[in-house]
Amino acid sequence: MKRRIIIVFLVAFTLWPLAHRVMVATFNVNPWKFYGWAMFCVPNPKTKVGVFAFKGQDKLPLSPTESDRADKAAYNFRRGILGSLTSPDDFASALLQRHPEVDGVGVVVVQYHVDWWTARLIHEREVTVHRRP
Amino acid sequence: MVLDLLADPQGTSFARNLRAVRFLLLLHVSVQTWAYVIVPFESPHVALPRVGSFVVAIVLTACCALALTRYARLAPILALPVLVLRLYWTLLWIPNHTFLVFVCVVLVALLDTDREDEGVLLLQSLRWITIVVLFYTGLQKALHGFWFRGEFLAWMVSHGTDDWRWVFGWLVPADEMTRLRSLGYDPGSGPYRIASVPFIVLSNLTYLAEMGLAVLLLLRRTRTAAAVITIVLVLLIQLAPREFMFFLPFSNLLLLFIPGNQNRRLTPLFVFLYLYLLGAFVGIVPGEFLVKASGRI
Repeated sequence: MKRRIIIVFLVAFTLWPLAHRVMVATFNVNPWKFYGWAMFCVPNPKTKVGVFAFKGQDKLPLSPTESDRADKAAYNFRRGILGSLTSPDDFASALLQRHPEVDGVGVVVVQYHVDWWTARLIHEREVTVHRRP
Repeated sequence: MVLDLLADPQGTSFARNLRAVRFLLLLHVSVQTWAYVIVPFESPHVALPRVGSFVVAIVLTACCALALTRYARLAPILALPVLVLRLYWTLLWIPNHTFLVFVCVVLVALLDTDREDEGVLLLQSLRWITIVVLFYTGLQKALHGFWFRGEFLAWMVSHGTDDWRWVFGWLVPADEMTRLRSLGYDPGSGPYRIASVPFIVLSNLTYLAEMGLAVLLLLRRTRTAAAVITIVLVLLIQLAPREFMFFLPFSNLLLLFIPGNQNRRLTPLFVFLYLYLLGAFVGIVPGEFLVKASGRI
């Protein structure tokens, strides 16, 4: 029985890096993390999260509170590791709760990485809009 | 079955060697946790409480001492819950080699080194894990494709620490070095390629060597030479990122491929190296080079 458990574990350990490669390609998960043995394969991706607010259709800057800053740093950290597996919904909901004066918020995720074809740095930008229900 | 390839000939005595491996794994997690205690993480994203890490360090040190007594079998079993707790506190942050050591501790907790059948399985499992890790570190470099034309190394020479320039800079022409060092993080920055044949050859040899040596570790005839070369290769590779807390447990695993109970024979050296590394980290012995640019080990 113990032998079987160990064999199953070793098979999973052996196949996991292939699943890891798929996760990196599909969800932009940080290749340096999660035991895919892909550290030093690509420049360690960096993520920068930004926010803005909506009042009607107008976009305006959001005056961040201390809690906003802490939540933003926490989401930035999670996003840099988990990629799109971590949704900005909870972060945006917390912002909307703390800022009743705005109708919605936008979360901007900028991630830079080196393009394989050109070997030049590119910044990928993803914006999600979260309006008050 | 592939695991059969990794067994030693019948009659080979390895129980005492595996006991040494068990002790060194517990020494590793103990030293690592003391480093967390001495210089706590400043990142708000690592939820490692100071008192918690202190308790974990004490428990792991006690387990490490227990591994030297006749109750050694209990040592990894007692260490496992606190290691799971430590893993929980640092889950998103932990580097891969921390997980590798955790997996090895799970194996030495599950399998008894003193039972013939379990000892054989433990030896095979630890060897297989070592091969898998080595092979994938090479394969992943090929799959991601940033080592074919030296892009990754060019990036590290450009944006990495001075150690990367010290290790690889001699392969980069002076004008290219000037260009790379002037590159910023703006969109379009680059290209991160270098017109230097030796640089590109070295880049490609790295992942080819990792994959090739992993295959050679499988074969009994080439195993010893492959293990020695891999230890040297990993040490050379670690000169730039200074991940000696990866080098030590990984070379401990690689020694399992060399006949003559090398783990047991070299245990005093490993103990010295771990304690010296911790001493260098604290700053009580010379060895600034052993500490990573981030200030950690």
